[in-house]
Amino acid sequence: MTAIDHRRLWSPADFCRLDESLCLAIRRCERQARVLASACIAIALCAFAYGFVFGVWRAPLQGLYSALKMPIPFFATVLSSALINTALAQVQGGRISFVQVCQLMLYGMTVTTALMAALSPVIFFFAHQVTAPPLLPQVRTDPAVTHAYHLVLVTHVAVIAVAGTIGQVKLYHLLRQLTATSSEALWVLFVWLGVVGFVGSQWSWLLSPFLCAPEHEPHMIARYYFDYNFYEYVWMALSGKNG
Amino acid sequence: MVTVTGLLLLAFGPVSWVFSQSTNSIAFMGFLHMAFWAIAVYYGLQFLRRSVSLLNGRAGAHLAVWVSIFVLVTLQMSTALRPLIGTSDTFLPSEKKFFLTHWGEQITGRVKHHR
Repeated sequence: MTAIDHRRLWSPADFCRLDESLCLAIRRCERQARVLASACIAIALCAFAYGFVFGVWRAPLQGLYSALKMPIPFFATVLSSALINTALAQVQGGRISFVQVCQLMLYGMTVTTALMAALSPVIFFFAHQVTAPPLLPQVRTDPAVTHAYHLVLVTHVAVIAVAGTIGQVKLYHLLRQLTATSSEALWVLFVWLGVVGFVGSQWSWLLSPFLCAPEHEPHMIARYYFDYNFYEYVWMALSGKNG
Repeated sequence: MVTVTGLLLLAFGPVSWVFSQSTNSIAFMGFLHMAFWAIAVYYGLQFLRRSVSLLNGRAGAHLAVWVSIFVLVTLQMSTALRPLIGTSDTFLPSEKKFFLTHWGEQITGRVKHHR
């Protein structure tokens, strides 16, 4: 039987390869503080690295803003959805405690952010190759810059989507060890995905922009994002009400 | 059943709070609360159905009627005790209204409330 290493924190690599001692600690509810600390440190560092790459295309200052903001949606999403995820797992018959739910959600996000951080040099290189916004405000509406902006934005969304999917697949393997049947694990995973996606989109919206459009100056948070939420914006965009 | 429903509604609290901080739309918040209520009631009713089975009862037509009445009364209660989201000068509404009429007015914006 694998023993739990009591001396060290688990690294992002341990999370990615589903380290046996880490799984054991989560399953047995042991060393909970160390599991949580390992995940939180890994998410903060990895998201910081990717956040910088996200915003640096616009300007180094925006890179710094995005780096500081990027870990927040991950932690905020866990904090705001852990309670309902615990309740939904319990009503489905799963014997998963609140702390275990937090650990599992953070586990999935650690794998996601570790992959994002690992891809950040590649993304940085490609973002460096496309047209960057010039310093003069009057030429920032150049179609080439606008095209590059959309290209960089779509690339980042795709990277986060792929990393998030891999993170959830790894989470399924861990969930399978904590639930009675594979169908129960799959059900819990899908419900959690729905809740995290629903809440996470809103947190990302509130903390926007991460890339910052060329026509705006680099900034931390835009106040007008609090006037309406992400889903209202999508609704308005679909119905053509936002111009 | 009511306990399971209530606990799930309580667990939805943080999510509702996140959305309530970034909208001025009463219609959106009303829709969100109704969606959460529907999920909570669904699991509450599942608990009821399992409990009836454990008591050697059959979850037949009588249970469906009972559930329909429960849901209708609860929905009408949300209108009878309005406003649950907005503000009002009086504790209880002075005007009587069917819940579908009230929802229709909120969605079309014919009645304005302030958060």
